[in-house]
Amino acid sequence: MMWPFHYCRPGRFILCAAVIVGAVAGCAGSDNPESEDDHLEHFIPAHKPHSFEELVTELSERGTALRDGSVSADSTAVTELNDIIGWLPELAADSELRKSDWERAVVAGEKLQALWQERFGPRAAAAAAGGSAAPPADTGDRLAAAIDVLRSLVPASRTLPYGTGGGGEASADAAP
Amino acid sequence: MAETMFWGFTLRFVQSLAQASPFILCGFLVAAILRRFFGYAETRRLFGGTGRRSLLRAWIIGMLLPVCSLGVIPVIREMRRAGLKGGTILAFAMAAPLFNPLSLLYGLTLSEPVAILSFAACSLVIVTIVGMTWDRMYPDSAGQVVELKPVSWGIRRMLAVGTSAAREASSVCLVYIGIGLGGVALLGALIPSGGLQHAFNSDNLLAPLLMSALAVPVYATPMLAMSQLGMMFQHANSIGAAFVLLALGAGMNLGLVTWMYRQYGLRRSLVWFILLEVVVLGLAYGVDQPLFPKDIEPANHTHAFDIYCQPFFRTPGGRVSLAALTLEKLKRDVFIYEWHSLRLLLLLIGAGSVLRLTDRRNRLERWIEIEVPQTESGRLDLVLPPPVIGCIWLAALVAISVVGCYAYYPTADEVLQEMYIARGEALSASLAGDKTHSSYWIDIYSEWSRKMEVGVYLRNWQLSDYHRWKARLLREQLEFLEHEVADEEQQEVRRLVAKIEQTHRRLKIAFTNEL
Repeated sequence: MMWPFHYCRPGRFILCAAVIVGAVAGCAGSDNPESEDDHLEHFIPAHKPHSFEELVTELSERGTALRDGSVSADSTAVTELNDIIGWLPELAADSELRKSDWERAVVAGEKLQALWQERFGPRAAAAAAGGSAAPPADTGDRLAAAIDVLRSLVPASRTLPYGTGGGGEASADAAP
Repeated sequence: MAETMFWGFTLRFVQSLAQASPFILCGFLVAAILRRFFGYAETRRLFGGTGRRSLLRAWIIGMLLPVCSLGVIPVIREMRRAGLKGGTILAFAMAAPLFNPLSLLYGLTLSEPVAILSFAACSLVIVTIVGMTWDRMYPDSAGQVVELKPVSWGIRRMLAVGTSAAREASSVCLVYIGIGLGGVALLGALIPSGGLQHAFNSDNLLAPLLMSALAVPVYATPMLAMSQLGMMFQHANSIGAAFVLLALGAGMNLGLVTWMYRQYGLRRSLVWFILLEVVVLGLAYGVDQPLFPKDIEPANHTHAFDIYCQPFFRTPGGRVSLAALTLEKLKRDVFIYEWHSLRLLLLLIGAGSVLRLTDRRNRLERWIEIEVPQTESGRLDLVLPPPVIGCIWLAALVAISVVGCYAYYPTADEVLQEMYIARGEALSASLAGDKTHSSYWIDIYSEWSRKMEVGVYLRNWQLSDYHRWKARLLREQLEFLEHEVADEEQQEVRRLVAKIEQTHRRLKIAFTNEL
């Protein structure tokens, strides 16, 4: 019976492997990963609200300003508002909202997103530029209704559920 | 420098060996079952012979068996002896290590489960396209078969599996496994600590290409690859690179490459590799944008590949030697079940070596192969044909790995108890500014939150977005904490510790009262 190590030439293989792996390591690795320029970062946009409560306030204020035309509906304003709506599930989860309330908040957010697209999305912009039909007149009311749903959930987002900690207000959550 | 590289190599080699040992043991067992219970004719039948269906069968069997890219080596050696075509063997070798029940469950609870299902479908595309093309180019790739004598029933049959596994464990197979481990250990010696943190950012168009070069020497168990995918999704890194990592990092290693070269020669192996790279990279660039997570702000780094870099950030000064540090890390990082598996593996290798030295003429095998007249003492005393027992063995292996899922992913209550310990250690170490200790426990704490999600999914077959968010928020905050501890920002650390306490409380309520 042939002993297994008859088959391989370890020296040659190790040399080849070291060259291949060395080349890969040279291409992939950076020498000084922790230098100041190479800092490990998680990008948090400046317009990201700190809490669910702040998100609802932002939505309300920015939405009203856009709707009333007191702020121009340029792409940055609309994009930022879309971002804020996109953060709703995360910030609602990062609050004291219970599951059922969280689900209500997410549904309201989805409704808001759809209405917002109807009013300020690319199709609405194209229609406005072409002089065709404007969005339905009650879109503004429906937007306000969806924001009202979110506003109604704000107290619950601060209240500790199941009497944990005495059922009082979770003040730390509101802080940025 | 040389000392750091040496100990980096040693640590990564032993860590990887320990992680791989349960899968390698399983590979030896499967190979012995194929050899002794199925025989070569039945093994060919099991894998669909030389027909077109063989690729699909190889993919399905590979998906079910709990082996990794090192554990698959004894199995493919047995498939080669059985006379299967090269495309089928290589398809099995690629598919088997990608998923197993444990890792698939883990993947399905990631924030983008559709991505994992897409990755699984893509792996079928890879093995089918590459396997079929290669088989068409080289239709004569099946080796010559020397049929084995069937093994008689009773003690002989039981002994046959043990001797077959032991002999294989002390064969050239061990060299291939060593080469595979050597590849990942070399990375640990050569790449500077944290040197891969920025290589796979989502804005790096070359990330999948770079990963395709890195992934071959990399060795990852299916679970490790899946948790790395999870980290890459969490940081919104390049999804194309994540796919390449799964396909080549989990599916390939240098040991397999060496085996392929020795069996099929340089030219055929190169053709296989080029085909594989083209298909994998094509799919990787194809899925990069469609599967990119929409609700995550991309980070400029990932920690998923820190384990392929030098384990020591800087040479410890004073009294602590790298040898002691290596030993300490091994004691801390290797799980008990991995130590047990490693001992069993060493025992098997030892038994095989003794057998080779004392029985060079295979007298034991010849005794095992002596025909024994079949006797049945009653109606219920049946002598089952060997392939039936082989099928039962393979089904049992799959069943054990499914049952193992329930132990590996416990109930939410049990996980919360584990998390209680991890939280205490992680947060107190962070407040004390102990970087090593906090980083270690933060990883454990974070991992338990993932296990909790999988455990709930496994028992309820659903996991709400609400619960996913609760766990994800905890992991994100833990990641921020790790960075702040590393940057020695004490004020931020204190703020984050308070925040994590709050998030943990909410997670606990969600997973105990609102499931």
